[in-house]
Amino acid sequence: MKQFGIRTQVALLTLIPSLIMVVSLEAWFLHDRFSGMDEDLLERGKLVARQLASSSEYGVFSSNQEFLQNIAKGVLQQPDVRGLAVLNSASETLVRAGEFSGHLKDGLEAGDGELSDYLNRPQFKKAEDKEVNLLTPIRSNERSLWIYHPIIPAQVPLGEFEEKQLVQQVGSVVVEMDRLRMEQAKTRMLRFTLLATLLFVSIVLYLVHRASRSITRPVRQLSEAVQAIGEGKLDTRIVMQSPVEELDTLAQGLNQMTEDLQEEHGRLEQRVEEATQALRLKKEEAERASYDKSRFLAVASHDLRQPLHALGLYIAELQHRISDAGQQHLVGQVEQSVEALSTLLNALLDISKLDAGSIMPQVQNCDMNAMLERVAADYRMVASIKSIRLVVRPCNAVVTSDPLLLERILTNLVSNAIRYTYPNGCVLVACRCRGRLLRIEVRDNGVGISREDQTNVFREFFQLSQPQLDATKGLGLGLSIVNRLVKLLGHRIDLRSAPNKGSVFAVEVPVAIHPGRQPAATAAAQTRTDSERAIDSHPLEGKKLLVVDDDPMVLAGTAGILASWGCEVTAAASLAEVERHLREGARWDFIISDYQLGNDANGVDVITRVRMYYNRLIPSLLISGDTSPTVMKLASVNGHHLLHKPVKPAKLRSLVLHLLGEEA
Amino acid sequence: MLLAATVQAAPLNVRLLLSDRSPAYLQFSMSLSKALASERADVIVSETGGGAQPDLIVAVGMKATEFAITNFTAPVLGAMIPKAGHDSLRERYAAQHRSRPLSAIYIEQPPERQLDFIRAALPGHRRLGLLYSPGARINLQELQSGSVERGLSLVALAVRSNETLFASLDEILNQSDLLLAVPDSAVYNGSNVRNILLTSYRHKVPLVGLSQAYLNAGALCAIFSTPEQIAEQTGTEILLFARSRRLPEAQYPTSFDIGLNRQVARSLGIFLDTPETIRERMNKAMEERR
Repeated sequence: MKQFGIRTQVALLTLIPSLIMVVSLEAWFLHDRFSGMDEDLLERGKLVARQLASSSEYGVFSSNQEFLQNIAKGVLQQPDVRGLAVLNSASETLVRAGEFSGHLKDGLEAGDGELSDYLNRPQFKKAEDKEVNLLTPIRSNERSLWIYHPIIPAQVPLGEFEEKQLVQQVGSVVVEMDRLRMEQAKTRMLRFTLLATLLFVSIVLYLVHRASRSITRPVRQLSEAVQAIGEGKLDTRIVMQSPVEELDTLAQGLNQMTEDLQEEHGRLEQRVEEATQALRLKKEEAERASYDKSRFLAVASHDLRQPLHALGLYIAELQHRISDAGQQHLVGQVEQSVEALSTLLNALLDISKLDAGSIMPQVQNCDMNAMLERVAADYRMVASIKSIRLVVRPCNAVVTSDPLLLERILTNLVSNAIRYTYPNGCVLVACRCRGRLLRIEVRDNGVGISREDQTNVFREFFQLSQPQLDATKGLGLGLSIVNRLVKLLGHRIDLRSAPNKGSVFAVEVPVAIHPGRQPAATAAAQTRTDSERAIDSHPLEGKKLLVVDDDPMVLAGTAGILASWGCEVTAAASLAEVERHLREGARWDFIISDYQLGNDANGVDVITRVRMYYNRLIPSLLISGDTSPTVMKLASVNGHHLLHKPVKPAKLRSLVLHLLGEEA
Repeated sequence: MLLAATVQAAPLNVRLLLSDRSPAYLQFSMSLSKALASERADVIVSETGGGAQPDLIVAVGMKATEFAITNFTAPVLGAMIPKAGHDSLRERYAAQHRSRPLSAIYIEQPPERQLDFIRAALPGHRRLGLLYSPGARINLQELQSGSVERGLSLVALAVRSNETLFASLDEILNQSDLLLAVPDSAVYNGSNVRNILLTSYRHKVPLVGLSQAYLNAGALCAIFSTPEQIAEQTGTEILLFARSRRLPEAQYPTSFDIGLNRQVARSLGIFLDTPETIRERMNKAMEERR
């Protein structure tokens, strides 16, 4: 339905009935007046004709043209008489006067004056062959009105001397009345009426406008106020003086309602505030708990790393010292256990680091071939032990990613594949270009993953129950780490698998747009592999090393392993002790320092102190049990190499050799 | 009186027929009854047929007279009919007339009386004009001789049709100083009389009329008998008939009135004496002629 405003509706309601009334009244009035005027003209015409007929009786009797002319002149003076003609009994025109638009037929028949003849004889003819005569005494068109009147002598009663009354028509008159003046009057009247109507309508409109304003203004005020309230301005109040009682009541009601609403709103806000406060407290509590957990984890991991680190070092030293094969085997078993423990710890720490968001990916161009080779080299041994064929298809693509994190993803996937593949199975690593993306697939024909488990494999500590593969049971953290890393790097991973058929994990990595740039990580890795190769040719025989650690066990362990490698080791537990050695004139080729050294100093201070003392850039290595980003950042700012505990003896050795070689 | 002495055993049964119920005829009827009553005659006058065969029929007007002739066998006395009408009826119903007597009392005055009247009333006017239609029974001869006898000239002109009326009128008015109306309804009828009067006035020629109606219409003067006078004369004739059972000859009315239109006279600048003087002068002239 079409909608109208109040004003329009009020205007329509008022205007339509009054318009109908006015228009119909005026139509009636005009019709009445117009027909009255028509009748008037006709009556006047008849009167004029009658007068003319009676006054020209004698003129016709005496055929006195002059007499008739005078009468005609007089008659023409009367308003609206346009023309006239007087005819005798033979229909001959005796007199014509005025503008006579009709055409008179003269003397059609020379009659002897019988009345019946007159009735049938054409008396007066117009151009359109229309006539007025005794039978049709009145004719009219839009311009004129013709009236015929017979001339019948006035009767004088003569009583007994008359044998019979014989009334004879002695002639006729035709009068033409002009309608022009009447039509003009009609037009004037019509105009005046229209003007009056217009005036009336405008007055009505004005009054309606005035009246409706007294309603619409308060209504508009009300509606504006309601809108404002709807927008939330609850302090809106309507102040108005309406002549309409209902609107006043409405306004008061609205004000009251708004007040109540405001009060209610205030109460609600307060309640929400209270709830929010409670929530905030809860959140703070939770955050504190989370922080406490992280803190606990950090502290625990630090404290766990220390003995694990020391254990690794002791075992390495032990292996050096023992020659008995049975004992060697035993130590090997211990080393494996420590290795597993260390891996578990690292994975846990990785997860916690990823969750804490403390790892920032360093995206650059990575050479896939080198990376795949490294992964293959790392796992070929394990695979061969399990009699699994590890096939890595070379790939020349260069991708954009963080090389270390991507490699970590791949190693995790490969190690996972090897873990869940039966002996004599096969693990295949292959790349495939898909437009802008490189799809790196790790396939195996192992146990496979059922559909319902596929969504769970990326969760922490989820493991497929495969009793026959229990020998080297994983931790269930590998895929969870992969998942987090893929998300961190913005890559995509998908999984296709079927139980007992095998699984395909595919990571999609964007292909580098400018592959020309030499990837730094590759170079570093290259150097690293070079230095690893140099282990045997450049022993640490005779190198003087400073080892600083506040933990006596770790200090002893580190010193022990370094000594077993043939180094001359100076062990210090604090900065003060280092300074003491400095004062005694000790000199070192290399510094290995723990980062945390009690409350007053750290590894960076020690290294800086020693370097300053000798004014030489002595190669150094920081070892930290704290994996927090602050430490890593501090280390990298000062250009120190940082290793996290527990450090594998082999890694320690290769890094020391590498740094010494660099200096050389 | 003589009448009372000769009363008969059976009363005379008279049937009165009126042509119509015009005032003049009603006046006649009333006056007749009065006249008969004053004579105490043994006459029963009834207007409707009372079953008995009437002894005499008194017919008033032409229509009634003709009706009486064709419908009754009793003698008919016509009253207030023109002489010309009486003559034509007598001719037309000649066969019926032989077996049954017919008489009349005319409505108009005898020509001599009229000429005497003109002579007495308008001594200065001597040229008389007269219009008539060819079919009219007018004794022009009598009028001519009468006029000559009294030192008057008479010009008579026949009017052939209504259309030529004005021309004839014009012509006759140019030759006369007095227009004499005659009982000829082809010329003097209700439609024409006004125009005739108008034309005559334009020529300053007065019209001498035939009745009070002429006077009313604008005639200068008229000599005529009233219905009362004719009724009185009729009453006398009835009484005579009652005695003798014979109808008298057809006759002109004996008593008359003189009517003058002083307004017209003033307009035309004509002096008129009083009717009494005129009547005296008429009587004198009549006696002189004898």
